[in-house]
Amino acid sequence: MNSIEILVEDLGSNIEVFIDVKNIEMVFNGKKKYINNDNIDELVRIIRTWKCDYGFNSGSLDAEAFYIKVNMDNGFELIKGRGNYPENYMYFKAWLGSFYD
Amino acid sequence: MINLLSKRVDATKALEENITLYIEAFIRYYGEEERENITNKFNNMLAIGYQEPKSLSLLLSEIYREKSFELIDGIMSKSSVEEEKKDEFKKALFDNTSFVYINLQPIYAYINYINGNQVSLWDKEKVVKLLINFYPDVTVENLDEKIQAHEFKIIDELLPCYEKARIEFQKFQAEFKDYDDYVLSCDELLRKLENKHMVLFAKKMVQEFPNFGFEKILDLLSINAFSLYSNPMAQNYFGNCVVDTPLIDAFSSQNDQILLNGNEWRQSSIKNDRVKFYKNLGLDLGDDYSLYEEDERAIKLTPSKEMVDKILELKAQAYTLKMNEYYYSLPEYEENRRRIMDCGIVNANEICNPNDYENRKTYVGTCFNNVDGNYNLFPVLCFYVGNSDGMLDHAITHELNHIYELNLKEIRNGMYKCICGWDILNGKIKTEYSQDVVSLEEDNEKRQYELFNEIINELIAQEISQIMIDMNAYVFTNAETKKFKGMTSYEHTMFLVRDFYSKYKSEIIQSRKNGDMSILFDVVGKENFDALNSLFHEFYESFSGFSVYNLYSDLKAGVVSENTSKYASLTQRRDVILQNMDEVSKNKQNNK
Repeated sequence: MNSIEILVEDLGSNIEVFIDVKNIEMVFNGKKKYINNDNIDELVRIIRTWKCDYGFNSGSLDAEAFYIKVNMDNGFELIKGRGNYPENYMYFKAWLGSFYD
Repeated sequence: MINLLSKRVDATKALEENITLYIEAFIRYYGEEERENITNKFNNMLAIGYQEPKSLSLLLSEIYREKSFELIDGIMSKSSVEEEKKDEFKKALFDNTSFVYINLQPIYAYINYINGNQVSLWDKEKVVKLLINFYPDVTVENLDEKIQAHEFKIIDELLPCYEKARIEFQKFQAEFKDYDDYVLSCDELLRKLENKHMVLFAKKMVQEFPNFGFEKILDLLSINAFSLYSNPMAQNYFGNCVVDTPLIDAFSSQNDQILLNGNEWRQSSIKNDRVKFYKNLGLDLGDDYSLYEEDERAIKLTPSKEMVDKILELKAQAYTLKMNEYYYSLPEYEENRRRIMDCGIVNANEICNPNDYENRKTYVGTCFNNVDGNYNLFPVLCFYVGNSDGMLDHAITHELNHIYELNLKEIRNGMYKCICGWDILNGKIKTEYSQDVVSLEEDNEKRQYELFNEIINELIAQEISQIMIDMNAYVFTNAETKKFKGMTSYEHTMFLVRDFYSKYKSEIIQSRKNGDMSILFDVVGKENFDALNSLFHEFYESFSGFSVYNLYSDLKAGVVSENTSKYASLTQRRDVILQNMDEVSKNKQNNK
């Protein structure tokens, strides 16, 4: 795994994250943030069971959407959903929330 | 900017004080004949702006930073340093640090030193580090001598201004003391609840798995919450905190499946966690997971699926219980409850509850009050204040348009039927209030035309937002910061409805005023309307997330790809639907 890109869209309140896994660096909404291996391991632990596409829930145009792109040497994997979320999605939100100042 | 940010500290009050701006904008849009209707509706609703304490804390930080930078600019305007060197000088003196962290401002270190307040060598070195940028011959050894000789004129000349600014900042910050105290008390509450619910979780674990020695974790938790860090048993079965995933998760059925056929990064993560789990139990065969797979000792240590499932279930429960209790305990929640009761609203149990806080929802609640035994519609506009990024004025406009379009059709046997645009809302007027534990998951049930209704509502709201800009009417934003286009996912599908909206705008608006969709179906045909509705779902199935940007990139480059082919198919079908709508419309005209 080389890097992870995260985009959470929520009616103008977007969260954009870039994690350089190899150099253990993170940019969170344009700002550089401290991150360590445990943080990265925890994120991967949360998302590793997520399927690639939770789909677009009928009528949830205004619901929060998430996109996670895992970049590897041989390509990338995109995980996304809008209106339908994985069971432990709140752990993902809590993980993101821990990086706010 | 400070005034704008400050409005978000008590957003409800700011909206109430400025509702007339919205009223006037809506009247300009819908016409003077709608004045009484709009005024009545917007004055008979309750607005509740809410945000979690963390969001308020971020807001306060932003306000203090803006004030600090304003004061710093004032200080720098008194500096005799050449213009081209001022930015460098400012950075050296203040290091982009707010007055909240005054101890981190290099100039503060200098002041403390010359006042004799700092005596360590490290403090002296900090001061030299600041001065050497502009006085290259200063050293730790000659610093005192040079101070005595008043050599550091370009800094000394700013000290009176700095002192004035420091005092002004303290006075400014004092105005927000109640909010700072509120944030601190909520942080303390959250810490207590974190510990409480970890303990409750641990107790359930002890009950559920009596032979594992989990009492040790309870003992650790009685010391403090951080004592779980690096504890092998905690890492394996509990995690560090309520939202932390324990290593045992690696043995779930889902993760078993992934080990069989998942991607490399997923498998690698699961294997690493399993190895850590075994090592925590005293079995260290190295880092290669394959060495553990057939090892008898590892097999014996592997947890059962029942145990894994139970622990993950208990953890999820702990999170739900903790956050429910937190949100229900917030003073802001209590205050909103009081305001709801003061309006005589009878069915407010489902609004402004923990689910809203968790999902940061902005919406209109279909609420009623009871006057002389009769139920009256009294909608509640709940709007999330945090992290609005210039969209807040527009988000409120969007919701107010829902309120404008909201009409009560009937109440019978405690059941209501309302219409909001094209959306039919049916429900029971539930008057019982309780603080039951609610699910923190988003409710994804949607009604038949809710999606289409939202997109058209958004188009209308954008037009009204433009009117507000033309009126120079802003509440939480200003001309520089206000955004109302291109910021939401609605924009991605505007290409499907824009022509439809502009051609049939009059019928669209009429049909939404009282929810009489026959006005629109007569003109465009219900089949065609439904066909257009279905294109949205197709778009999002193909183009959600990053893939929509790939589409835009392909369109811009003029390449032919799978994305552009799908897009072309959608636009072709949209055009066919619009043609069919035109046919129906023409036939109607001809038959008149």
